[in-house]
Amino acid sequence: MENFLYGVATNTGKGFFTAEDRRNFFLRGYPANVWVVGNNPKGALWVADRGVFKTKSEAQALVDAEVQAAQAAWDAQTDEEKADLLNIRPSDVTLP
Amino acid sequence: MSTYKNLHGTRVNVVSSNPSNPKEGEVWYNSTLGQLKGYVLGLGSFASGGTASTARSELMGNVGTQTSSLLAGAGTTNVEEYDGSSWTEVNNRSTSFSRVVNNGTQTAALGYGGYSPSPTPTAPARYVINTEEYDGTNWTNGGNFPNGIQTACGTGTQTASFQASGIFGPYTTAPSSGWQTTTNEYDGSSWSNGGAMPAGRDISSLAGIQTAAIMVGGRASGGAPNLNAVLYYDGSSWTSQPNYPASGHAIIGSGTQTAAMFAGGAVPSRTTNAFTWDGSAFAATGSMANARAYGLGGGTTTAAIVSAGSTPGGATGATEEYTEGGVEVKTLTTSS
Repeated sequence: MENFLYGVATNTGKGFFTAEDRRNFFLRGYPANVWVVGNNPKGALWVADRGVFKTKSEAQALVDAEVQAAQAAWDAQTDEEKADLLNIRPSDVTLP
Repeated sequence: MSTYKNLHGTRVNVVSSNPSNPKEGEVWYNSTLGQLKGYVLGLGSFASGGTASTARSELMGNVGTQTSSLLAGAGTTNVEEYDGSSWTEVNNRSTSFSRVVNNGTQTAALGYGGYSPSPTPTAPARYVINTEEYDGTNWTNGGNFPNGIQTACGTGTQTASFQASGIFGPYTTAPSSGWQTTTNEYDGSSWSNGGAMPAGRDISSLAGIQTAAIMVGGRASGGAPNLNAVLYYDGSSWTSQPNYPASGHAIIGSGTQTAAMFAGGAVPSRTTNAFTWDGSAFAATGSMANARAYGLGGGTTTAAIVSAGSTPGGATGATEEYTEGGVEVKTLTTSS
């Protein structure tokens, strides 16, 4: 059995995930509203109630598209903007 | 080697089922499960809070509590107040500087310093000297900061705020001389020098008050390397404390000098990790769901808030609320 489930869900704010959810299953948010969830019945129910399941490759493609858009926006900046010490080019993100 | 009996004066009870009404700290061996059990404090956890309408990053500082917080600055004039459930837009600040340090409470806040990007291709960007005070309704000018400063950190109240770390001076693309050991204290109307830090750093995290603060992490002078050094400030001088578990900057802090929580940060990638500090040691607690740095902190180690900040996908308005773990029956292992 795979360790994780993958889904897309929009964070609706308070109650979207609870402290009890965090104790019941692994939960980690990624770009493009992708969520990686521990593969157990409560984790699966959480994804089903709040969004749609994706395969790992589908979820990774969504993350890649958002990160690549952010990287393209960074690349389009002026040299002065790029030189700013806090302006770091977005890094690739690999889902677990 | 000490034994449990030597330490506690009694042997660990062997029982076939967990006691129905254990006392905090009680330890027993469940012979049915073959497990050592204890009634101990569980890990704290982060739950989702309301999402701010304006995603923002490069926040410096901590404001208010889990049920009464304030998002201001960070490249926008928009200001939002949090009531423990949702964010509401309120009166704007007059400026939209980024990297402003915000401290205080929702009804008595302070914002100072920051960074103003170049408005035109030929006009220089600059480090900000402005101080603005918020009374829960309106923003008004306070006493100017002594120098332009950005990427600072601060803690305290509107009438007793404390700034440390940061890069001082006018804009330059290579401000290698801008990292100073200078600190500053605000009394509600003007700034004066505090005790100098042992070494310059920026994008550190501060928790506590003007006379009892804890500083965690940051970047060394010149922007590297990331630091794990922890310092106490007593209102005049600095002392070293045990290192933070990771080297990083833009870690989000809250709480007091002896009961603080630090979450996220750039270590160097954005992280979800969080740690509590009890005045003597750091302990890992439940992690955030979203990796982030440069967010807003607030609250205490029992009820904290982390909002907005920089995620791997960009700026966010998402909020997570931290609640201390309760006492619960746990299986004890060599790592628990």
